[in-house]
Amino acid sequence: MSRVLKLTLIVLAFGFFMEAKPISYVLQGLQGSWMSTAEALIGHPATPASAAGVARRTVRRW
Amino acid sequence: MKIGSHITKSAPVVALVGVCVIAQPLTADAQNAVDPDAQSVLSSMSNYLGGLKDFSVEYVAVDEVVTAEGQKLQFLHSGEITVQRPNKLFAIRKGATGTAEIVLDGKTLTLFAEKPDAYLQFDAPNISAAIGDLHKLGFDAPGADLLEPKPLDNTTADMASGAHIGMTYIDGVEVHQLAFRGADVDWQLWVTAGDNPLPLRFVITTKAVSGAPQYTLQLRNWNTAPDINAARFTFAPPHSAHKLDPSSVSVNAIGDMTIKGK
Repeated sequence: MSRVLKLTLIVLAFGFFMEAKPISYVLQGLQGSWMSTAEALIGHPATPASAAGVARRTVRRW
Repeated sequence: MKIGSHITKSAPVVALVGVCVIAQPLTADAQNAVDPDAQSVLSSMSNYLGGLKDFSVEYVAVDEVVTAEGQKLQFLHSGEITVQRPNKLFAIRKGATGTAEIVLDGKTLTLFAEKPDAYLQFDAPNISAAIGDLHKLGFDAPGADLLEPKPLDNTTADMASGAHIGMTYIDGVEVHQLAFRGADVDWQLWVTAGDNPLPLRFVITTKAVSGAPQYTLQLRNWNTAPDINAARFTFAPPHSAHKLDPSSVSVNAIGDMTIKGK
């Protein structure tokens, strides 16, 4: 397993703090950084390679 | 005469409606659009929770993802949070991606993942600063709204209007159901009835995203006088643990984080 994949696993476990802003949801398709880390997404076997968006975790106006 | 009188009487009403319609998008005076009952319960909860020096609570969180094909998926994780205001926090989180610990010792915030045996650290003198640091990094901590000194404060929360929907029960406990509408999100909060109002359920609906995915936080076993071991708030990295550079972290399109390879 490459260093990048190992590091990705590490970071996935920090999902407690995960949130991507909806505006950042640019579909990456099956190329680029997503594909290189797909194998490492062990914890999210059903996570699609492209997502329209996720729910925000806060109602705070930053 | 009757018609004229009717119009005269109606004019102020029409004018009032017009003002309401015009005022609706202007949220500067948002508090006025919040039902007094809803505001009362929210403020009571905020004051009580914000005033607690120590507390612990168990949680279950659900992150919803909407795929490009319109399919909605839910990812669950759960754990426990222990807080000692203003600057100490310990949280454990178990989910599909493994077990993680979050420790704020009064100066430094640590995110530690057991299985990959690695951690990230940030300077954070208090809980608010820790939440802010993480937001700058690209994440929002689940339940962050409830950890602030003034939880869900009108001046910071996205709330143009709000209503007290009614009373119901969660696990046999009577709760108020509150519903708020904001510019970007709608959200609901279920708060225990009585003198010690605490949130038991919090749902955030993201309106701007197709499929309107929701984030759900369920809270239970609140302990407002926890017996806290001070060592809980100290992070001692295992010898084998790998320290990561926060500047190398980025968030990808579905919210998972990646580390830039070196």
